[in-house]
Amino acid sequence: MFLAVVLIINNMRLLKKRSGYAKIEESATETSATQRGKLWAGILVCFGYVLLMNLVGFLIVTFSILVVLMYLMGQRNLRIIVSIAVSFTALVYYVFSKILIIQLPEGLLSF
Amino acid sequence: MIEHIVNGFSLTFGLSNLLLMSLGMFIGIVVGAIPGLNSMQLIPISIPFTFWMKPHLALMFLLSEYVGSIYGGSISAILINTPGTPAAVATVIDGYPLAKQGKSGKALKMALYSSIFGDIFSTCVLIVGAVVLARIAMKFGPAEMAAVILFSLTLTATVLGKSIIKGLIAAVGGLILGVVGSDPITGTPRMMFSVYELSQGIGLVPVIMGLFAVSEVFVQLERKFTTRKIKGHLPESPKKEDQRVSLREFLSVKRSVFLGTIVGTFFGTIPGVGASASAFAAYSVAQRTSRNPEKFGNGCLEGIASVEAANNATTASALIPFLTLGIPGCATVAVLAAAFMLHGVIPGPLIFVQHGDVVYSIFIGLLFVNVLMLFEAQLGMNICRKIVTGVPTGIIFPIVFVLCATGTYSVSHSVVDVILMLGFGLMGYVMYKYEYPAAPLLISFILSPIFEQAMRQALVISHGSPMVFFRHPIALVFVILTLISLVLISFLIRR
Repeated sequence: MFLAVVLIINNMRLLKKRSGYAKIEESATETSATQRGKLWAGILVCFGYVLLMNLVGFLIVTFSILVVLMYLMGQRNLRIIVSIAVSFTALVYYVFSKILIIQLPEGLLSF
Repeated sequence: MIEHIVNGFSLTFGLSNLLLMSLGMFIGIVVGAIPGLNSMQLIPISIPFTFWMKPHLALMFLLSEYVGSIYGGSISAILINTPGTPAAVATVIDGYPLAKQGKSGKALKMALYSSIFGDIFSTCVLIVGAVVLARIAMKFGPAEMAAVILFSLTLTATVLGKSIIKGLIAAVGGLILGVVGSDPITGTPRMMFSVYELSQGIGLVPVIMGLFAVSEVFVQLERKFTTRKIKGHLPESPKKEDQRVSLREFLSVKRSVFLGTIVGTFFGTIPGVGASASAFAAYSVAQRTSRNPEKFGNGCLEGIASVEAANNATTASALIPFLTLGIPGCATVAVLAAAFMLHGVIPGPLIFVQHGDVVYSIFIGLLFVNVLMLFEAQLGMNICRKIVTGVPTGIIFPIVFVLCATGTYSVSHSVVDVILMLGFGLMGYVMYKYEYPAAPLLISFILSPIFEQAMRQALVISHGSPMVFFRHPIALVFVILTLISLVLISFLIRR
């Protein structure tokens, strides 16, 4: 029975390789300089977010990282970016600090 | 046992549990339908929100999300030719052609009914199988446990990736990460580099968030800007019978549904074979045994039915080795394992003794969740048709990142964990780039402490002689199986 299982798994691999459908998952990974730049900028911003969280406070950094990441990921409509960033920051802050009662770093905006 | 079942019923049909289950189901369907997001991102993000819940509520919520996301993946597979989850990759083959003929409603309903059938059947197998296997597993000593874990780690490492070596490297990496913290027997600090926060070991939450959600954010950052516009509208057949599945139609594909269910249930129990692999296997089995195999690929109902029955059947049967032996077989179950452990429900043979009511409420809940799916799928379909498939990734992934970071912070109240999460995110990204599978790493990270403890206990009992793994017959069988599977799989792949 064990042999049969191994054989079937092997068959599946062959089938996967043959059918063109499995490739849909990963198609657009060709990298150009700007794409790599976006990636590095994104990684730096993420690390900055974590390191500045205690210093500047949750609300400000979260709002800014949402704006920056949305811009990096191709959103260009400023009104959409700002409105989503504001509403989502408020929502996350409310859910975590008021419903789940977790002390988020307040930083500059201590109230 | 009877009292556990009765308690399980009362836990399942509590009002809060029903509400949370339907909420989880709904979130699961919607998130599963979004290409690029699936239960691998959804469950880690949801874990921090479940901390205030009782264990049975939290686990049923997460399991509903899991079941829902598998079905949700097929919605976008059928409607926009892009699988929402890897499990739905095979659904595209027949689902999209059928939708192009104007019969998207029929395709979606067929997927729904066969999903439900597959899920209910494999849940029944889960209930019977888990109870029987747990009885056997109770007799396992540390030597047997170590051998079983070794066997399943080898299987997951070799089957889940594209190359055996990369899979094994990932698995060993997970074992090493699991060593950080205090020695389980002597209490000596190991590999913590004087970071106090690491004295309890690396947390589960940063690892799962980083490896599967944050790494996905980085991957998406690098993508070219693509505005996903659906070209034109799918034709919509005005005839009513094209938008639903009649009983006769369902009975005409019963063989495919049944075969798909059997294949899915069987593959679900083997460590390392996930929902997508079993869906492909079911598709080929259905095609080979069908009376008219030439119709496959042109929108035939049998294809959709077999694939969907199979991928939903794996969801429940993948829980069999997990609940009875504590061994998660695929990445999603590994993430669920993390959730179980964080809620103090330690999977393994003792789970039926220590948390019998929780386990039985999960069993009953998994059966009942299908009834919810029947009602909520319609709602999910309508929402996905209109909104979900058009939401740009540029909005979703920044939000995913913030939810990950805040969630990780809320679990441990320490920035160290959030930095760790980012580190694992980078690691996950690099592994993705160089085609190292992340799932073996997570699975062996979760199993590492259990494996180490079992192995060292066995060695203490035998006064340090490694012969203990060869003297116990069950352990010996699994050690031999490990060797055979390594040799066989490497031989088969080389050709």
